[in-house]
Amino acid sequence: MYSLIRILYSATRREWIAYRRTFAAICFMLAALSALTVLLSPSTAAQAGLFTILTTSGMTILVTVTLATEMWTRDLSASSSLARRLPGGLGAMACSKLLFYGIVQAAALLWGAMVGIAAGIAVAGPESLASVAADLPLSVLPAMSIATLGPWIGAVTLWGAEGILAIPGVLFLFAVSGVPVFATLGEDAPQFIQALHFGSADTILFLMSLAISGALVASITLIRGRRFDRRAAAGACTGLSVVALLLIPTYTLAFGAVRNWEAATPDYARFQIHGAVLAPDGARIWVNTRSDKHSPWSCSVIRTSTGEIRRLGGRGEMVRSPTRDYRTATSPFVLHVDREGNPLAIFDSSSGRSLPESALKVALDQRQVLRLPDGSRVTIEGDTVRSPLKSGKTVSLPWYRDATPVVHLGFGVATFRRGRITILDFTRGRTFPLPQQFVDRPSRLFELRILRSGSWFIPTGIDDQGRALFDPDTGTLRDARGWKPFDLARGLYGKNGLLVVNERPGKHGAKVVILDPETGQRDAIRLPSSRSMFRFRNPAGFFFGVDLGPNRWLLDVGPGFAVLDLDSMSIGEPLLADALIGRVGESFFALAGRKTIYQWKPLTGELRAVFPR
Amino acid sequence: MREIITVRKLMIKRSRQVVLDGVDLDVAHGEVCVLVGRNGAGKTTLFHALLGGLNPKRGLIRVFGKDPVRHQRYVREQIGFVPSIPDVPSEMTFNEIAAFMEPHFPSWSATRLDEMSAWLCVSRGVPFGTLSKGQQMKAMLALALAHDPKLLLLDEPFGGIDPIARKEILEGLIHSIQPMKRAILIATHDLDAAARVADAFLVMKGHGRIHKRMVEDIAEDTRPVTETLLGALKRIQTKESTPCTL
Repeated sequence: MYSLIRILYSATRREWIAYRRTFAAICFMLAALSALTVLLSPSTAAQAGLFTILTTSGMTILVTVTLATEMWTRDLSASSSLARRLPGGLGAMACSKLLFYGIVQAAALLWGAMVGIAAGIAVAGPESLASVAADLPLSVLPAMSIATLGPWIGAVTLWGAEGILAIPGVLFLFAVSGVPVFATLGEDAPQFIQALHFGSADTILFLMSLAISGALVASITLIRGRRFDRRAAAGACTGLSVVALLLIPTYTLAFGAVRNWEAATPDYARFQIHGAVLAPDGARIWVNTRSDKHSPWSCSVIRTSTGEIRRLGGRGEMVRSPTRDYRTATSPFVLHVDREGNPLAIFDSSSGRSLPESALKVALDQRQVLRLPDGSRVTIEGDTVRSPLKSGKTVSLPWYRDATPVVHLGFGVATFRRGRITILDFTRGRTFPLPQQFVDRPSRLFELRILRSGSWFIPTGIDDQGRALFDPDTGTLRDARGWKPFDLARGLYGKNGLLVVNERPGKHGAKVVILDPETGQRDAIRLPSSRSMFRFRNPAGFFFGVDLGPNRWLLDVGPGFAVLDLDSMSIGEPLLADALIGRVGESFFALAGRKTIYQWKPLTGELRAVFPR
Repeated sequence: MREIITVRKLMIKRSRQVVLDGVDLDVAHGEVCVLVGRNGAGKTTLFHALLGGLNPKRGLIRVFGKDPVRHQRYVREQIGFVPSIPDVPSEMTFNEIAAFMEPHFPSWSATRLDEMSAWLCVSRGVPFGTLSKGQQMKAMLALALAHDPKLLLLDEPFGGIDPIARKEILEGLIHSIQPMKRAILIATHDLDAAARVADAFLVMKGHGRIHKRMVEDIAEDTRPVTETLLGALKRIQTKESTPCTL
C-alpha cells in the first residue's frame, strides 16, 4: 500500500513538473486580466460575488482546455513513454493523471476565488466579502460543471480526437447519448425534466456521477484500449464499449423513472383524487391527486374507455379548466399548471393532444359561463356579455375579464373589479352599482337572487332572516310572500320559482319547497333524509353544479346522490359516491372514496367502474 | 544453465503487420547477447515484447519463467531497459526522473545510482532535453542499472554518439556486468563495440528469425568479427533463400 502511495505521489509530481509552467501561466493570465478589469471597469469587479463566479469559471475553463486536451495522450508518444514501461504501467499512469487533474482543478478553483475576492476588496473594500460568501455556491457549481468534462475530454483524446478537437467530440458524444432519452420523452421532455425537480444536491450528485463515469471511461481506455501500443481506434472501441455499458443501467433507470412518472403513483393505497375535469365526450378525466392533505399535488389523465392512467407532471403540478363555469361542468380544454399556477401546457381534454396557447385565448373569449334558471345561455365574447331578454332580443353588456370572483344571482351576476361591485341584471339588460342595502352588509350579496320577473329577492331585517323584493329601478322594497322561518334559499328554477329547503332538524327531516315570492305559492316534497342537501344544479343561483337542465337537481342524500325532478317532483335511486365529476348525456361520472370513479346512468341504474379497472 | 529469456515461435503483429514471426530465443543467466539485424528487423519490438508491452499473436515468451504480459509488474521490476530514443520527459532533470522511477522498483538503490552516475559523469541537475545524446544515453544506463536488474535490455545504446561517449558507456556496461553476472541483451549495429562484451551474437533477419553464434565459435575464425557474422548470415540466406536482413 505504501509503495502504491509512493508510486502515485511520484507520478503525480511528475505531472506537476510537466504542467507547472502552464498552470503558472494560466494563474498569471487570470490575475493580469482581473487587474485590468479592476483598472478599466471597476464597476464589474465591484460586484464581487459575480466577479468571483467569472474568475473561478474562467480559471477552470482554462485549466480544463489546456490540461485535459493534452495530458492523457502525452505519454503515449515514443519520446515520452517512460511511464508506460515502468512496473506500475498504464494503471499508475491513469490514476496519477486523474489525481493530478483533481488537485489542479481544486487549486484553480481556489486561485480563481482568491483573485475574485482580491479584485472585490481592491474596488469595493472588505464589505464585498459578504456578497462573495453569498455567491460562493454559485461559484463552485459552474466550475465543477466545467471540471467534470475533463476526464471525458481526456477519454476522447485517447480515441483519436486530439487537442482542442476533443471538446466538440465530447459534446457530440453527449448529444448522441441523449438521443434515446429525447426520442423516448418526445414532447414530454420539458414536463419530465421539470418533474425531476433537480435541487442543488441532485446537481452535485449528477456532476459527481459524470466525473466518475468520465474517469472510468478515460482510465479503461488508457489501460485496456491503448495497451500493447494499440492505436487510437482500439482505444475508441474500448472506450465506447465502456460508455455503452455505463449507459445501459443509466437508461434502464431513466426509462424506469419515465414509466413511473407517466403512470400514476404506485402507492395506490395512498392515492386520492381530489379534483377532476371531464372531457365533453367523456373520453378522458383529468384528475388532481395527492396522497394526503399534506402531500403535494400531482395530476394525471384517465382514459375512461380503458381505465389507463398517465401522469402529466411532477410534484405540485395540477390541471385546471380555464373555461369551466362550475366545478362539475365538462371542459373542452385542460390547463396544466405548475406549483405556482403558471401554465405549462394546454390540452384538448377529449383527445389529450397538446394545443397551442392561442387555443386557450379563443376558448376564454368564447366560453359560455352562465346558464340562466330558464335554461338559456349567457355568452361572453371578449369584453362583451350577451344575454337574451324576455322579449327575445339580445343585450350586450360590458364584461371585464379580470373581474373576479363572479357571483351568480339567477338572472344576473355580480362582478368584483378593482374594489367595486357591479351587478349585471339580464332581465333588464343593464348594470347596477351595489344597492345601498348591501353596502354596509356585503355578505347579503350571496343571498341575492334576481327573479325572472325582474324583482331582486334580498335578505332583510337585523338578522337577515326576512326577505323582500327590491326594484333596482325605483329603489322600492316590498315583502316577499310565502317565506317562512327555517327556509333556506338554494336557487332558482325555470318556472320563476325560488327553490328553498325548509329544514326542521331532528323532527320530520327537510322539505323541498318551490316558492313563488310574487304570489306566495309553495309546492313541497319531503326529502329522504334530514341530512339531504341540494348541492348541484346549474350555476344560476349557486356556485357549483351538474348541469341537469332547468328543472332537475341532483340531490345530495349523504352519503350519495339522487336526481330530483322538479317537473314530476320525484327523487331517483341514489348513487353511493362522495363527489360528482360531471355529466355526459345520460351518464354521470362520480367519485367514491376519493379513489374509484364510476360511470352512472340514473335513468337505467347502470353502474360501471371507470377507474381503477 | 538457467534460462532468463525463453521465446518460442513468437509471432507479433503491429498495426496488422507481422513484425516478428517464428522467433526462437534463449538467453541464460549471466549471458551477454548482442542482437544484430537490419533496421526494421524487429529488435525493438522484441524488447517491448520482453517487457510485456506487446501481446504476442502466437507463440510463447517467458522472462524469469513468467509470462511478461500477465506478470508485467514482476518482470519489469527485474529488467533494466535503455531504449534507442530516450523516452523520459525532456523537461525533467535526472534527479526528478530518478525520483519518479524509484517507487516502482523495490530494489532501487540510491547509492548505486549515485555510483553509476558518478562513474558515467552524468549531469544530474539540468533538464534531460538539454543533455547531449551521449549524456542522455549514459543517464539512461545509470537509471536502468539503479535497481540492480537481473536482465538488462539495451536498444541501440551506441547509436549516434561520439567515440568517447561510446567508450564511457561500454566501460559502464562492463563495470555493471562484473559484480552481478546479469543477463544482458544488446541490440546494436556497432559490432566491434558489442564484441568486447558479448558471449553470443544473435543474428536477426526478416520477421525476426534469429541465428545464434557463440563468441567461442567465432573466435576460431581468423577473420574480423564483422566478417564472421556476415559469413554466418550468408549461410542462413543460402539455407532459407530469403532476403538478407542484416
